[in-house]
Amino acid sequence: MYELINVSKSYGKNQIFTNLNFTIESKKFTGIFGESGSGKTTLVSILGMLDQKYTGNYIFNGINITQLGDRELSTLRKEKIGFLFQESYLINEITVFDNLLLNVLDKENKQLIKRIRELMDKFAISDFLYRRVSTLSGGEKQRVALVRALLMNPELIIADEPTGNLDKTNSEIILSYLKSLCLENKTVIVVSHDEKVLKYCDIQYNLIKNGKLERCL
Amino acid sequence: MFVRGLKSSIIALESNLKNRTLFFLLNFVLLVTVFIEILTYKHSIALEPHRYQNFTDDILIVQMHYDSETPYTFSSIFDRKLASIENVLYTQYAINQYIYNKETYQLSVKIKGTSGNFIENYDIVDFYYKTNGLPNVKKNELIYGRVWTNEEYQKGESVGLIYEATAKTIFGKSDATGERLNFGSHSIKIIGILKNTDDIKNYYRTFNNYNLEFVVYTPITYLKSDSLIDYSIMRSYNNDILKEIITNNISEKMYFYEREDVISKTLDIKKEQLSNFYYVIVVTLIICVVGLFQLIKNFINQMTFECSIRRTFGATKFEIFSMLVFQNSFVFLLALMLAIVVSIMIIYAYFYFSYRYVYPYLSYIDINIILIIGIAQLILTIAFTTLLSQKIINTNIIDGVKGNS
Repeated sequence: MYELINVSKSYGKNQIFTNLNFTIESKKFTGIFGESGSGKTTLVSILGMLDQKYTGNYIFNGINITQLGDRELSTLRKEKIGFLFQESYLINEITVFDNLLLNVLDKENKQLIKRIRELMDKFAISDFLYRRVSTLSGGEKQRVALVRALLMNPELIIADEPTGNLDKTNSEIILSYLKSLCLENKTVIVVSHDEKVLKYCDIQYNLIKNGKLERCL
Repeated sequence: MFVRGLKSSIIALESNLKNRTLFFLLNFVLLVTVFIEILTYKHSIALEPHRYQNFTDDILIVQMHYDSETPYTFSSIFDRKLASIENVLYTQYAINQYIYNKETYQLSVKIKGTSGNFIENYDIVDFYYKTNGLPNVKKNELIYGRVWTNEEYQKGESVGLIYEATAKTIFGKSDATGERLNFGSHSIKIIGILKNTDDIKNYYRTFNNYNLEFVVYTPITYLKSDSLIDYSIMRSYNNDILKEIITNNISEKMYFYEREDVISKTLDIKKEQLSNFYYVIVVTLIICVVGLFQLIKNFINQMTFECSIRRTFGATKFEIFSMLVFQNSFVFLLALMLAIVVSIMIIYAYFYFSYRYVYPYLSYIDINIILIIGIAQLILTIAFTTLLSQKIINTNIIDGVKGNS
């Protein structure tokens, strides 16, 4: 379970959240919907431990992460959380394989390479392993990004508008796979304004303008 | 672990190749510019004396009898007759008293002008001591070669002994036996090297009030034909005769030789010209430092996305910092090494084609200055990277990923 307790966040005078209390249930597909500027990305940053500049507490599977230092947070991010964004955010100048290695820095080993191959096979992109990212299509890049997100076998996957740049077919592939991850005891959070996501959600929240979350499902 | 780290670093370098190549090239150009300027400046000053080869300021030639019993002789200047040291001193004193009315005037021969291999000026004093053929001034000790033989002495061969310090200064090596020391119309073959002695200068200074840098010992017979003063000087202490002789001979030949110091003048002009160049170097160094700062700033700004991606997927702040320092230092070092090689090649080519006469002396030049500058720049690179990377490390990760930082 992932729990935000009395979390307040502002950018200067712009208050995004005030005493936000919010719980993500484990092993569920949670969808968070909201318009642009409603604070979706800020919420992703907090849930993904990418932003520590807020007040309140964030309990990550029983660990109060607000009390952790940079090293512990980085380790948690690396081992427990997988990120998927609207854009693939891969580095175009290097190969798919090297992009995946960036994820784990210097931990290249046989097991890791085996997992990379498994995931690449799973998403039918194993032929691209040593190709430069710049030669891939948008859908292929997003699948590589998904491989990167899953590489360390994280327990929580946070997807920020994962289908924003994809056609219908690719969107379905990605969302179906994310949904299937819940059956593997993983928790999936998808932040989006895409209605296609709705049908995959176990739990649905709406993020409204004043930084409050309303549960709809 | 090390191999993994290295591989990861190489991947990291490759991931932003364009920027790194630009960083490398700009660093390279800056460094080459600075190195060439500095080397040109430094080499020009250091090599200038070598225009004249075998360059030295002063030299004292001490002529040695081979087998005389009585210590003294002072004949290359005065005559070849034996005399006591007291007489010699008195004679010199008398001449000085008579002509200049002062005791401290130096009786010296100055060579006018220069020739290819030259010594700017020299003095000739004729000495004698006998100790196994070695000049027995303050216990001289032969460390290379030999002293002249009786046969060489008898024939008045142009052979000589010099001190090790003299050999190093003039010939760039301790064992200069076999070399020729050329000055004026003289060309003396070095046959032996004497161990340095600190007392030697004081000895001559005390004895004849000489203040000379170098001493060459030759057989007394060598300069026999080079006597500059008539025999009669020593024969008579009659001041009238002395006056006449000095007026007719010495004054024109010796005392009133004006030294045309072409070399000093040339060196002074050259130094003045080069000192202006020094300011250019300082300005270039400042530009180099500012340029380096800007390069690192731009480079790090362009790394924001990559670093944020790395942070997203688990890199710590320290790992990001280390990566930036490593990358910048690595690329800078590559640029530095290439710049050193290219600069030296350019400098050598420049001197080879422009100043061929000094080219053989390039190896004497200390090029540590470029290493010092290189290390200083490397330290600056690390310092600037440390300073500037704080922004990237502390930026909001999600903003960095999305390009909003």
